Amino acid sequence: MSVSADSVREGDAITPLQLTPDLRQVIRFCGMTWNFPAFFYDIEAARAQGMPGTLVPGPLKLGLIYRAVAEWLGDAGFVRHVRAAHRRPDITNRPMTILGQIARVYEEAGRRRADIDVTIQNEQGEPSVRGFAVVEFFH
Amino acid sequence: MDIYLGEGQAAPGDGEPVPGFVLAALEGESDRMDLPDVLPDSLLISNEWQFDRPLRLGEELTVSGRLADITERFGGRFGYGLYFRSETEFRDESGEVVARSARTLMQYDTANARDGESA
Repeated sequence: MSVSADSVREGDAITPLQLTPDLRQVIRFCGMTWNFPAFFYDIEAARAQGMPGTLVPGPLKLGLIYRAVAEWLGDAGFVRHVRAAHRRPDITNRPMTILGQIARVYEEAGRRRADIDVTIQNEQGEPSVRGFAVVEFFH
Repeated sequence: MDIYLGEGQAAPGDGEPVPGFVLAALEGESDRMDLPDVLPDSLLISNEWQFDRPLRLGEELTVSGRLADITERFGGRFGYGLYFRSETEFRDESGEVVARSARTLMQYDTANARDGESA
């Protein structure tokens, strides 16, 4: 079902997005951002930090939150703001789910906007990221 | 786009809106703000992107970054910590700010951390 400024209500959930970031995706992200901490691609370096596997970069997770919100929003508007507070690491090749719930719908600067509380949940159901997004509707 | 959406996605045409996650790549185009390693370990605390309007393929943006804030924290499970907040602005050809990004990175030294104390 497509989203519109009139149909969105406080308490509504955005469409959950389940993903399993893999090492290839992470290495490509490191190349794009030209940032190569070893624990993103070298499992021994990750284990030396006490991690069970290589890590998914936080900035990549911010982009995946953006994707989840933008896909739910479709052509109804654009994402004005997205923020991620990183609570625990996510490990490559493990599923994560991006969830969101509409916290507030309001008018600002003559535009209809909505605040969305966002969480990334790991496969244990624990929040690895807590964040929020603000969307603005075109009409 | 493949990095976020999976392979085989059609790229936007010239002048069409582009997904906001292009900021991750554009941030790398600015002079990287390499922070000195003041303390032995570091951790990304948060990051964010803001947009005043959708960005469009083909428009030229000017990127500038600054270290916006440094705060200290004592105690907790991370011991002594320094929080660095850096901010980046993206201006269009008319000089208007069209997007911003920010991140907070903590450097820390657990030498004086206290077990069982929350961060």
